[in-house]
Amino acid sequence: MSLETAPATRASLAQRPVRRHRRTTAIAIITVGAALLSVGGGSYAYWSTQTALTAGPVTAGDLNLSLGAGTWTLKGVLGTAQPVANLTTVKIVPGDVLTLTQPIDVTLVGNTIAADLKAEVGSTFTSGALGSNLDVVLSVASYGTATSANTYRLTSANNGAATATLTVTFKPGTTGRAGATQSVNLNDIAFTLTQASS
Amino acid sequence: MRTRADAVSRRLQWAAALTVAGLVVFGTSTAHALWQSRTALTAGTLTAGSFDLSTEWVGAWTAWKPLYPGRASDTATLRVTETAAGGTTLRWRLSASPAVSADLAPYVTTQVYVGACGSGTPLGPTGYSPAGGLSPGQSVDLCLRVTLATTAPPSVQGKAVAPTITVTADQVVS
Repeated sequence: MSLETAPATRASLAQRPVRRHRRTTAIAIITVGAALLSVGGGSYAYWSTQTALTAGPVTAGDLNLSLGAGTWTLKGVLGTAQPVANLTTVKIVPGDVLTLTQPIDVTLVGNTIAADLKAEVGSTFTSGALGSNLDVVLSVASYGTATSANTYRLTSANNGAATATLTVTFKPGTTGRAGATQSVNLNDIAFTLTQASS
Repeated sequence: MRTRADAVSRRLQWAAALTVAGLVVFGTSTAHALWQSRTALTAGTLTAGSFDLSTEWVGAWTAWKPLYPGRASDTATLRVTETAAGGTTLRWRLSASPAVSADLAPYVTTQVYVGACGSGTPLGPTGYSPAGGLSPGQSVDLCLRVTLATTAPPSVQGKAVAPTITVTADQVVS
């Protein structure tokens, strides 16, 4: 009895060309597919139409705030308000009202723009025996009624100059010698104009 | 038992939650990024004043003599000075509260004068303040008169009056 092993050997050798053949076929199919897609994509660019808007330029609005040269007065619980030439020489006592008359220039340009004008005080006004006994109040008569404490809601109708009044009041109810000889930094007061978001 | 579909569903839920959270955070930060213009004052430092008192006896004690019923005795001059001198608009008033030893208190009357005892201005319970108030750094002279009542019993003989005056300065507010 004999065994024929040769055909089996031929068969295993014949599998390699078959695999190579399949890989070549796959590459060819992909290449053809890509070519077809490319040709097909090109076919969409035959007809085209384009129409630009004729709306013209659109321009951004503006928001800005600048302060002019302010003037200060000091009024004690007795007497009338007196102009202050040099704030560094002033020694305030309970009941004093220090008033800043501040020219402001508001730029509010925009069809829908609205902004809040505020007087913001920093930490020296919220801490310490002196700062905590000072009240800072902003008022702008031409803007009507404040929307909240020290805040006015402005629109483009308020674009232009106005005069703000800022008062710093040493609370008359201050007792003992609270705050005596202490200082606050008036530069810690800032006017802000912020576009309204709600 | 968790299936593959469950895992995919959870992954989608997490992705959705993270997306929403991101939108909220991004949206909030965007809302704060609106236009703003900020200008601080350039006014410098503002300083509070101060208020303080000092006292000293001045002059002679020539009128300070032993008491007997119906007799008055006057102290020397007590000079009260506002020493802080540190308030631009500060105006003040002075008040004084005299007292004597408890043993003699029922039989002794006291009166503080602004100026000389007897001829000065009697200091009342509302204190002393000229029109417009006293100014920072200003001084006021006081004198205390002590009078022993005619009804004082013999038991108070030889006892010390030990007078005291408590002076108080208050800011004038009206």
